[in-house]
Amino acid sequence: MFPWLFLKTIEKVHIKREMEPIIGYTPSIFIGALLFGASLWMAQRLPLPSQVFSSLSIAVSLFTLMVGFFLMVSRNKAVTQAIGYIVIENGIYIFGMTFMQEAPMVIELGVLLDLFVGIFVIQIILHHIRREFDSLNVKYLSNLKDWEP
Amino acid sequence: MIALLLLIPFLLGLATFFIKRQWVSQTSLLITAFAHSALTLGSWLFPSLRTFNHWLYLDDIGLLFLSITSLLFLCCAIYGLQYLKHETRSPRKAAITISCLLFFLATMTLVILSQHLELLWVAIEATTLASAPLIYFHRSQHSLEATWKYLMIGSVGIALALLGNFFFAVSAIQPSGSEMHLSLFISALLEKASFLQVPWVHAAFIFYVVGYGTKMGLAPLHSWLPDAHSESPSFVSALLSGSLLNCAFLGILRAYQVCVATGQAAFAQNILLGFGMLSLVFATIFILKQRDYKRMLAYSSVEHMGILSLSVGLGGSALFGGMLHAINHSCTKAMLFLISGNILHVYKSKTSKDVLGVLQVLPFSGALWLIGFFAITGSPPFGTFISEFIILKSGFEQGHPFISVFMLLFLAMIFIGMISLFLKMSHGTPPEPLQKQKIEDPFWSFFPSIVLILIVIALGITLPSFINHHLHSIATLLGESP
Repeated sequence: MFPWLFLKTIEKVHIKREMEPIIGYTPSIFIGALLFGASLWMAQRLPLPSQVFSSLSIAVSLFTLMVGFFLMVSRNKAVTQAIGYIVIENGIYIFGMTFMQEAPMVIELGVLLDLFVGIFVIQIILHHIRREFDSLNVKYLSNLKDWEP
Repeated sequence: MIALLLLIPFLLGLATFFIKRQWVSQTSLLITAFAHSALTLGSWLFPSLRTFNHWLYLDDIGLLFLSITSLLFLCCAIYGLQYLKHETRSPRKAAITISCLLFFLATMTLVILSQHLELLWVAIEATTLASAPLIYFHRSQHSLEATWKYLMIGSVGIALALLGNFFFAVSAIQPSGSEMHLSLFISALLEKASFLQVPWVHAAFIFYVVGYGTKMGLAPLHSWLPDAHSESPSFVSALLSGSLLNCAFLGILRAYQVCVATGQAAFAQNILLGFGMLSLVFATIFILKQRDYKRMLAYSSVEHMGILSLSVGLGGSALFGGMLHAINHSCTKAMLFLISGNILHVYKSKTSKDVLGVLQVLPFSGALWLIGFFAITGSPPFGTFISEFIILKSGFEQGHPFISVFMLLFLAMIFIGMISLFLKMSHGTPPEPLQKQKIEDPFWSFFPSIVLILIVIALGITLPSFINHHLHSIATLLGESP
């Protein structure tokens, strides 16, 4: 559902590929590997009763979380930032799935609804950004300042 | 009964969204505002009405915050009708704005009523989504930027609070590996607090403060706040600053309650003290050189959120002062934002350089603007003076004289920073074009502000015994020994 919504927006606003990331592709891969190592290490060290849960799923969730943050800070396009947000949300959810065996149905639905409406609102704003600035580059979104230099 | 508090704004919001007629939207805004206030009043008078089920009920903290929200919404609704009349010609845009406003009220009420940590999370995230279109009201590049920052920073912050939720769930797992059945109802957490694993409770509280602190505008997580508050229409800024920040604060208070029950109050207090002092420092730095009066009000919100956080951090009798300060700050700040809307409407500029002689051009708004300035900086006889005084005094009593002196110093600097801007704005000669034409200052655009400032003055002169009693019972809930 979400990928479909995103693909539709991307189609609408005519972007092909993230062209000028703030951090290039090769460094990104290295940073990704480092983050993965870091999350494995952290998952080992968390004070958890390891016989109950495999520490791998925690490592995966931490890794997803960090990659999400990395995506948000290292890319220029507003869409990529939105995707970063979804990735963060995914990471947190993987963590939750490991622990919360039975969260109440109402809550699950509530969280889903929130995310859904959230994506929806983000899409609308993305559309407006595109129309207003003719681009989705977030460098145009830095005009609000505290005082004139 | 309590369910009506949620249902009325939600259903009328839906109706407004789909019908998009001017009379429908206007009447539903007024009906909701009055019905919401009436129901809130009802739950003050009849305690039996405060419970719906174990998911949703009003405790003492909730009742206080609900009253603030309800009062501000009533004032902002009356002001908003006037505002929408002269700011937009299209009934469609007005209808969408009003329906978002109603959804915003419904979600804020849900935050206040919810007694389950995950439901609380769902509600706080929903407030972000409902208010984002309101910030984008002016459809300009600047407001678009503010909306985007608000959505992204707010949502990511709140996502971290979700992780805090899960940490609370993890804290119930015993070291032996046996799992205790734990639901995230606040009452259940408080009951089983002695079984919770302390390191995970610490982690959960940190994530809560960072997550909801982003939404509450604690420095250094406040970066969205001045943008959003200065770009949104004035009655929305008033609601954001007066009600929404309080709702996020409520989220932190819930986690704080759990910490107190686990016996970790000292840990939580240190964190809150740190964030509170940092907020005061940041706010002072940005207020001293501020030239944009709406941004100045926004930074003043950061300052007051810092004071609230300090009051919880100090504990003891400061809790009482903090709760009183929440009422005072909300009323004063909402009133100032509403007046700033009147000024902006006439002068069409947010820079204080272009705004001179407000007292001549808009006699009523100008006078209220000056009175509001004295109220927000905590001068007597306003309620803010009393509440800040209680917090400062309690700092000395609790053995944190350094913090009290620190707070006093920064409050004085903020006073100096704000007075130069406010005095320049209200006096002086108004710009040429404004001297000639006759400018009207419509009654309904300053009447809500008069009501709000009267409340603040009344609270400064005398504290009614029922409020006094109520605030004391909240302080007890938050761990002050009675």
